Amino acid sequence: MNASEMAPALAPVDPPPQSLLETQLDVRSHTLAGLTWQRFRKHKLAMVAAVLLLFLTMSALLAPLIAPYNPNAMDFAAFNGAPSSAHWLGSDFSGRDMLSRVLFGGRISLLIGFSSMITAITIGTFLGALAGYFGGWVDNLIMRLTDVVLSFPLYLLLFVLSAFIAGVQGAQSILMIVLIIMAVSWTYIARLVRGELLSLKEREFIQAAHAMGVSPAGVILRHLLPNAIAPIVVNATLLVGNNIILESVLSFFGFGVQPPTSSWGSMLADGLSSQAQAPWETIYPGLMILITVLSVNLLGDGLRDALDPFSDRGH
Amino acid sequence: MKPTRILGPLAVAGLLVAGGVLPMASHSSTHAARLSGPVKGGTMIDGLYEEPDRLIPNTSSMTYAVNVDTTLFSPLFYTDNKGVLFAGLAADIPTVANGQISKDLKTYTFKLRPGLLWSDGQPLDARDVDYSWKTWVNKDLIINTNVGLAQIKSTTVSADNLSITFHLSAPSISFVADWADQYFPMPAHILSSMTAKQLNTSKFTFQPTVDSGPFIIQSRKPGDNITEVPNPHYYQPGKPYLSKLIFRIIPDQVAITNALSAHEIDASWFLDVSQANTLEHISGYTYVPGLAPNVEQGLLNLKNPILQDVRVRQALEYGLNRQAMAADVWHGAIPLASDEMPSLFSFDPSIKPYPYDPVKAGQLLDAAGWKMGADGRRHKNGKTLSLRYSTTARNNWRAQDELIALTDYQQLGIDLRIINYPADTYFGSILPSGQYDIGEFENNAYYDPDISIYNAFASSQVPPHGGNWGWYINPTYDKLIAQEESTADQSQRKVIFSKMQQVMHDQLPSLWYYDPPNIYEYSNSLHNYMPGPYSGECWNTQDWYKS
Amino acid sequence: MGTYIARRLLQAIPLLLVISIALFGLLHLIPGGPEQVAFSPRMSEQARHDMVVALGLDQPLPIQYVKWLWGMVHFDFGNTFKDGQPVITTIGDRLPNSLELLGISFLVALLVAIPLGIIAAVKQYSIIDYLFTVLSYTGISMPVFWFAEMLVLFLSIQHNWFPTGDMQTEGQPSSFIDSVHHLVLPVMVLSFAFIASWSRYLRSSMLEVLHQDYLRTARAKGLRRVRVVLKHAFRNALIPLVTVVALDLSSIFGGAVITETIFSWPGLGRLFFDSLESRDYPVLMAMMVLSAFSVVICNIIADIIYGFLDPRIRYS
Repeated sequence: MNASEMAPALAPVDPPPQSLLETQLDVRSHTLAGLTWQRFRKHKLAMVAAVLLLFLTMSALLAPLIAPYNPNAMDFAAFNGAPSSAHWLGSDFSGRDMLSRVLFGGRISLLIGFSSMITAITIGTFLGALAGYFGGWVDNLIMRLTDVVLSFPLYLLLFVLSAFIAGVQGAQSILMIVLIIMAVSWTYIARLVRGELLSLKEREFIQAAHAMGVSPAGVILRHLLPNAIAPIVVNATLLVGNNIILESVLSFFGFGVQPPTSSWGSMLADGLSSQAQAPWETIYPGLMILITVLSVNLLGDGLRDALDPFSDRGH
Repeated sequence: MKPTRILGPLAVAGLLVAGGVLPMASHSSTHAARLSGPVKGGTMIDGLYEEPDRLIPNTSSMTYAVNVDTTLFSPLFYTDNKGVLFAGLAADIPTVANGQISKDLKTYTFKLRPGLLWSDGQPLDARDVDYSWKTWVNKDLIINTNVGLAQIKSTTVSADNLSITFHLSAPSISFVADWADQYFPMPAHILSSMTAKQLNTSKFTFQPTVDSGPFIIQSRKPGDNITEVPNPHYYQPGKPYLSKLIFRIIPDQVAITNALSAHEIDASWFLDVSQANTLEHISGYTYVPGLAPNVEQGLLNLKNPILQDVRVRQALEYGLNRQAMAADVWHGAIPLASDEMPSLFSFDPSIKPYPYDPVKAGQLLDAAGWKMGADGRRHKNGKTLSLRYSTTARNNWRAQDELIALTDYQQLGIDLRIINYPADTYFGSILPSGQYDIGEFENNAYYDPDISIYNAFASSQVPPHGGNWGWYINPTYDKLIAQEESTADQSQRKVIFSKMQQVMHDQLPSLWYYDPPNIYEYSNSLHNYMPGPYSGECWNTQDWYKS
Repeated sequence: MGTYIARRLLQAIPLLLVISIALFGLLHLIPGGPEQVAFSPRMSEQARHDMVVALGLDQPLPIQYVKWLWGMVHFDFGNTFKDGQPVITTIGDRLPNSLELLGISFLVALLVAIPLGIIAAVKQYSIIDYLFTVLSYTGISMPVFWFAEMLVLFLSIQHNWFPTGDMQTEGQPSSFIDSVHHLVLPVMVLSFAFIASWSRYLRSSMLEVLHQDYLRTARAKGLRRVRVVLKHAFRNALIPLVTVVALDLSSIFGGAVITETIFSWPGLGRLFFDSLESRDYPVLMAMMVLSAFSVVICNIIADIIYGFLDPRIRYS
């Protein structure tokens, strides 16, 4: 991915603090999870981010219960209405309550962010593992495939793929968008996993597994991947934020979720023209995106330090 | 995003000249007298939403290309913003009375003004007109339309080259109107050396070097702007007033609004209603929801058995709050459609739009056998009342219309499934192939109602022959069409059109929503900027001036 | 080195071929062709068919592809569907505009990102560093079009300090000052993202280098801190940053489409978007091939620079 109007999924890594040994001496648990959690707790920013994300996810899940209005109910008395007692965050150009829309929009944005991440990570890990483990022509083929995908500028590929959406209902458009975003984000993780597996598979414990007669699938799933889990998890976290931004960009060009479904991104794009007259139509969805993606990035940073303090730089 | 492939404001077909009933002016100085104190000089910057593709006359169907073309080329006849026909390059308007139209309506003679010149000083005469139509009917040339030209059997150019006589294969009541506003004569002395194929890829179509309109192109920066300066040989003396006319290409509605708000451009036409909130509040500028010959309708697919019952169709109309659409989506009082636009001469104000009456709608559905079930949906013989509602995707105000329809029809017990398509797919395949039940789109009228609304419901126009995408077949209605097409007497036609309007009203082959305006905005320092319903934005750029 | 470059370029040819076939197939799979898009719904079937023939679209797909490829090999990219002009001119007219925008943004971004990254690294865990972290992450967490629109609202509309878009003021002779005036806002928007990402890369690699032993040795030997930082740490930390910048160079083809849209900048991103709307295959094919080619070139450049800067790497 290029930085142009969007930073790459992986921001670079912080090297470990000077005296890792000293930190290690204060060990209370010996499991990977325990150690990780201990190191994670030391990152104040990341902890705050995690709490924020939890809060956002909960409010999205509980939206049907806590939203004061149906997000599509039009209040004919309040077009572009300023925040008031009836509409705490104001109402949009159709008189729909902004608070309810932000809550329900969050469901869609987070849904798209997570599902596109999960699919991208799954496909990317699968292909990357195949390439890294088997090497040879399999590796060559898969790497050429990533080359082809990466040779298209990100936005251009997004637009071309979006043009395939012939007839979309509101809910269907979510699926299409998830697939489109997945198609442009799997390559990074594939290369990452391939790189990890290439170096890991020469290690002794893998050769031992071979000697014991473990099948390739077994080696990959039970021995190789778990040791490569750190960069995968970090990348996965950052991808969620990335994809939420991507979805908003799609909405800006009209390729995002179709009405009556709306996400934070589509709300932001819709309200763009009334920024001067009705700033609440953009500020709230925009702020939601900002807070979510910021938290996701900080969380990813913290996870990276916690999971793998000696991890190499990206690429 | 706006649909830009409309022909309505630009093609004034079917104008009734033969009947001699329509108003027309004999020369252009009539409306010149209405101008007050024009100031010479000044630069006007116009915000253009799309970059024009082809500028050779009649080779582009893009609204914005035709706009720019209108500043570069003069037509033989043109209409003003009230729909009144004027003679442009022609010396006068042909009528039966002045002998320029034969009594059998098969021979038309156009006379040109003497002494006309192209912008390079070469004479402009009937030979250019002859060259032009012959080029347009060449099938190698990519063109916009050839309506009225296909019936030309042969032409004769007079010895003094000032008049050209067309011999048609069949009588025509609209030949003069076909030429109005769109068939601009082209410079034969420049273009005739190229074949039609070469014209398609010529530099001339990108930047015409010789023209006949009020302006010529000084420079064009691709993707950015087209800068025009006055044509030294323009046929109207003392005009144009502006010393520079610049089209600035701004491919984003929000950016256009920004440019207007910052007073960087003087005007823009055909704006999107999603910007209305901001546009209405720009100081020093005037916001105009201009009257347009458009009707927003929901075409009904009559191949669906559910919709074949007229009571169901009426229920759909009664049960839809079109007033809310007009008020909410379009910010206020725009006319509700009773199927015809008020701007058409045949409009019968006694035929009123359906009121919003959900109770009556429910009763009609009950009478048609659709009973409300416990699930909130109506059922009949085991089937649920479910309909597909489609329109163009990525269009904010249509999405709002759909929301209103969804809510209203849900209350009626109708299961509405909303499926939208990109515009080209929608018009190119979905509507013609009947993959919809209610299809919302904007219909554009021509001056003659026959070409606009009514012909679209003739049984001869079912796909693939024409635009009767709803498969409405009514022999009585066809007979009425035949009647109105056979007479040139406008008062007679008006009576027949009234009957047809009544049929449309009672039978509802389509749901009728409202008449969407063409929104435009202009600076108060710009004068005589008056886009018209059929004439487009640039019909009178020679009269624009800045103070 | 020369043979290395030649070898890489040759290896790129099959890749470009595959890309062009993939793209060609993809484009023709998209529903609707230019004849559908360009025509109003009322055009007759005959006129539509005539247009299809005029544009060469009635031929079978493989033939169309081979024709295109043959033209490509002779550097003839054909004519656009939209206005019939040569594709190479259409792209060439807009290339300088994109170059100007991206080039200046690159420069500005480098001038800001490098000091920022160095300072943040040197003062790790200080307030400055925390501030820097939050700000730079905010930069990449905000949708670009929102940021751009807010800038326009505040600086162009409410205060009239800068124009809302375009490259120059119309109707006036072009001037350097005018161009710069029009560049300020778009460059701010574009460079923001670059700055956020590059400064973090630099900070991170600076940190890694700063903790290494050879620097401690230099300090122990008595070299002054600033000298250590700038002369030793920075040059080595520069390596990964340079490769990232080189790769980002290829974003000239379409990377700035949001900025170009909001500021109506006549660039290549906008050209691609509009051509996609009107199914202008010749333009789309040419742009994609050119951009794929530029990605290949940028990768080669990045590898070469990497090789220059890191003496441990040698290319055969």
